[in-house]
Amino acid sequence: MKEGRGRQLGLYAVLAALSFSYLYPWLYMLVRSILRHEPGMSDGNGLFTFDFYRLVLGEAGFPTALLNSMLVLTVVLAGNIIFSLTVGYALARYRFPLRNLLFWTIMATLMVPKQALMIPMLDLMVRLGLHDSLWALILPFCADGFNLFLMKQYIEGLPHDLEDAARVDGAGEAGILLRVIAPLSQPAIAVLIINTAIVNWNSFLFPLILTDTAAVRTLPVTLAMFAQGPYGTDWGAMMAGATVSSLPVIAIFWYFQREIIEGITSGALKD
Amino acid sequence: MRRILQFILVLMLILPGARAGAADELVFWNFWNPEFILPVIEKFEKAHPGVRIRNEQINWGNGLDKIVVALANGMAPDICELGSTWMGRFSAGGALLDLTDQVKDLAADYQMWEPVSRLGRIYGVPWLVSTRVLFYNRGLFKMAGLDPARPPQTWPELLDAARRMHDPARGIFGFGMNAGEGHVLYKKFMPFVWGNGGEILDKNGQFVFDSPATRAALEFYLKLSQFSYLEKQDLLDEAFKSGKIGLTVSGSWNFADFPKDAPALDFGVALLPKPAPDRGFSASFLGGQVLVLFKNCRNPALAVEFMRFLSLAENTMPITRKALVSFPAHRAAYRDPLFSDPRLAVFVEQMKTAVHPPLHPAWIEIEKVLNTAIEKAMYGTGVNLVFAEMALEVEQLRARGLLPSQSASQPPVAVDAPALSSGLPAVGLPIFLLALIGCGALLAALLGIFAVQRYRQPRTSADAAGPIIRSQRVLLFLSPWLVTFLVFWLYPLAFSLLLSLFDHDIFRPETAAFAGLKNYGRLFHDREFAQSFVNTLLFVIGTTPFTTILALILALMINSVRRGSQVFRSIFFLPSIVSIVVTATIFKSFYSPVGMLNRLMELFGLPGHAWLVEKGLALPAIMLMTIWAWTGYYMVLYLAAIKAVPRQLYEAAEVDGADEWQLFRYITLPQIHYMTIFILTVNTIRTWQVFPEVFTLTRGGPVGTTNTMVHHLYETAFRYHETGYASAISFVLLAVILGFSIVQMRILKGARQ
Repeated sequence: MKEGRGRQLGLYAVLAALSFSYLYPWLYMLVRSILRHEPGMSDGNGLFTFDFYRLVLGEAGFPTALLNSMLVLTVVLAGNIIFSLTVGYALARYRFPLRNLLFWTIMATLMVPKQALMIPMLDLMVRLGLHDSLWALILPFCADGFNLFLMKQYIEGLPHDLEDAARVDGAGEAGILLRVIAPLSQPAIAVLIINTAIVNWNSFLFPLILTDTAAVRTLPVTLAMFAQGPYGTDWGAMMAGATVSSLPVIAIFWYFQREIIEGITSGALKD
Repeated sequence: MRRILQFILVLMLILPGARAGAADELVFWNFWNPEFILPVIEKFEKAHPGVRIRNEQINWGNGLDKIVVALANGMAPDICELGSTWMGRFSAGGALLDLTDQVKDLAADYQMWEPVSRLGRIYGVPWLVSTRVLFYNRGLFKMAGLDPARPPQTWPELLDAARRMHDPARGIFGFGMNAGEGHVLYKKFMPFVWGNGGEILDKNGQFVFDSPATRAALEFYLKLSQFSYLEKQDLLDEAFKSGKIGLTVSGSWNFADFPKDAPALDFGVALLPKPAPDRGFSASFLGGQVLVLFKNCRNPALAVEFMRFLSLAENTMPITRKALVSFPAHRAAYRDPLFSDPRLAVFVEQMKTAVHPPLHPAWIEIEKVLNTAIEKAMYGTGVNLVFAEMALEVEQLRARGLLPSQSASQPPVAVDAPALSSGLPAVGLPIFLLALIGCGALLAALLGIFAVQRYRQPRTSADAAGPIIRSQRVLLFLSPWLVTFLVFWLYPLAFSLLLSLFDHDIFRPETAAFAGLKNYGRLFHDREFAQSFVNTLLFVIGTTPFTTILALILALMINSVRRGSQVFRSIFFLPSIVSIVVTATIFKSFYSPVGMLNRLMELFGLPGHAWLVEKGLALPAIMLMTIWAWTGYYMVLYLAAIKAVPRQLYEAAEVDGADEWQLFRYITLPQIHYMTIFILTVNTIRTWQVFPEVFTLTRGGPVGTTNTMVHHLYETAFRYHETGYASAISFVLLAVILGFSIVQMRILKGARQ
């Protein structure tokens, strides 16, 4: 890139100004989680405390919830990667009976507000005997429409050359999927992982409806149970809990940032 | 395909759907920290060997939803805690066990029996009671030259005190008045009506709210609002705590927070003022928690024993002592030294004259009429017009059979009358079977649409660039996914579609009555639905394009930064990681009258606003938050797409002498087109379904200006328990989004060529 110095400086100025507004809530969350009282209040006991973290981490059920959330997320991630790759590939490259119908049905499940599916979903889980188990939080979300849509769109945008070459070399369809499409789709898979991680980790409505006992509760539900009182919220505890539960997602994001950003298509086509 | 469906059907039919568990195990749902409840359960279990009480906590924010969903599925717990104001609907609905013979001997020892009684029968045990009193800031009283030892006792004194303390320029407000919270308004306003001799329903169940007493109270309330800080309850408490408000009506929970957070705050509590020294009385709002048994309770005798045990003063006082929210209904508790605290004694005194809102099967609908009227008046609609509009709404409730017609004078009959008014007999088929039929019907309909489309457009390969494989075998390859998808998404979808064709009473799920398209027809007369549609459309138009364009600009900027792009990327992405509840909380304080935004406005010499409470500002305020919160997420998607554009395309174009704009226009934009389609589609779907933002910030208020379609649906299903009608709303929304998306995709696909 051959831009001038001034332009770079201008870019930095704008980005830095915007960054401040985006950092603010994050800082607010962190500060509020260690502030003894609401901002501007004091009782002379010192401004900061780790009591809320002690409360959150010491709260019975929190370690269980953390484990449950991680378990659910891991399985859901694996399921989504496998399903979205195969089905996304099929929808993008194959023509088969009912393809359009299938595609729009997937879209329709996205377009129905989840609130409308709460009663049927519990009915289904009770019937399948999965109610109040982690399976109820895993199975439906392995077939997520957003991820499928993303993969289909991404694979449709990929050049055909490599697949053709592999086919000429005698690769089977599974081989093409595994050796050509999957590596090429890494940026999309990384996006998928982050997308799923955010949605699944913060998911509240279905875990609340589909589980009853503390043993199978996930983080957001556990948090809501002890931080939300009848006439308001214990904000310190809420923010400490939110901070603790955001960390894994942030870690995942940092880890996959490079994957997303480094377009692998460009490298593959270079020869 | 057929075999797969067959497999699913068989699978679903053979799997059992009953709640497992031993007969002497009881499930108890309550809202409290298990810390308070578990010791009592342990004590009870010790006294009853072999018995097990399973304590399951539900949360305050969504507990009622959970109960409603469980009831609709016959999965209600054995013992349940309910809010006393819900009892009108629950006891009339037929979902509760009649406990008259088991608990009537407690009558003298407990207070607050009205909520659990209906037509002479008893459907529960009162557990906890709470009320509100007047809080006043002694420091501000002194500063305004008022006697800090003498809180206002009458309306004129209240108004005078508020007027004298009110000084918005210094950030001091006379009175803290609840606003922008549709469901709380009546609780704050009704004490003035009751104290003045007004009523909501008379002894015969007639709606008598519009009376001289009510009008006088409303006029006084509007006068008081001129010297008030208008905000939501939690922000009012906070403002009072930080010494910005002279007077407000609030509850005992503040006693837990104030000494901890603001030990220097010099405040007092007093009985609510009455209209005049010689007239009316000091009324307040009385509410509480009751314990009930649902019809599916597995061991009522044991459950009653547990309820009686739990509600004893000695077992309830630990909750009162710790949370300071509600007091025991058991009268013996008031001998406890805790109540010798003079401030708590005011609450005990206030409880004697506090009024519980009427118990009526249609109370939730009546409450809505009241709230709407009060809110409209507070937002400047003339009092006469407010009452005229209210009369129309009441007429509608009468027409639906929820209120007795004016000539009749008997008490209202059960609420299920409208459910049968379609004239068709109740089907009584198990809902599961209906759902399966629905599944079939939905598939058939979709197949039909598909077939027609196929017939109309002979197959072309126009949309296919490159090698496209035609194969049927691929379906086999997809079958694991297909099964998962069909079972877990299509089944609920079909079930919900079917619900939309039924009058479904959650209290009696087995008597769903077929209603045809009645629920859809009703949408045309639902003004709230029309308003929510317009609000949502505005929301979509006001957010999606901005989010998308801003995300693209940000992505381009970060892409051309030489160093530190990773840092910026992460920063802009942060809001999408943080849960929306946290984001909304931050914005709530940001938008409050004394919040950051107003301080910024002040800096530029602009007037401040109560952003989430003013009519024209609330929706744009939510839009702004949404744009802010989601831009970073879509930016990352765009960045991923931009980075994936083959570099040699740019190199080739640069050799040809393309300038920067041309590079963007003819290389970047077409190369990331698939991402634009994805982002626009996903973003549009998301914004049409906007809900948590509205739910946490405004709950649809003020006066319905932020009521979006999903919020309306949610209220319909979980507040008004009309699950069939709510499903109809969701399918209309589905149709709207589907149409929108198809058009959008057509246009975008066209734009590519």
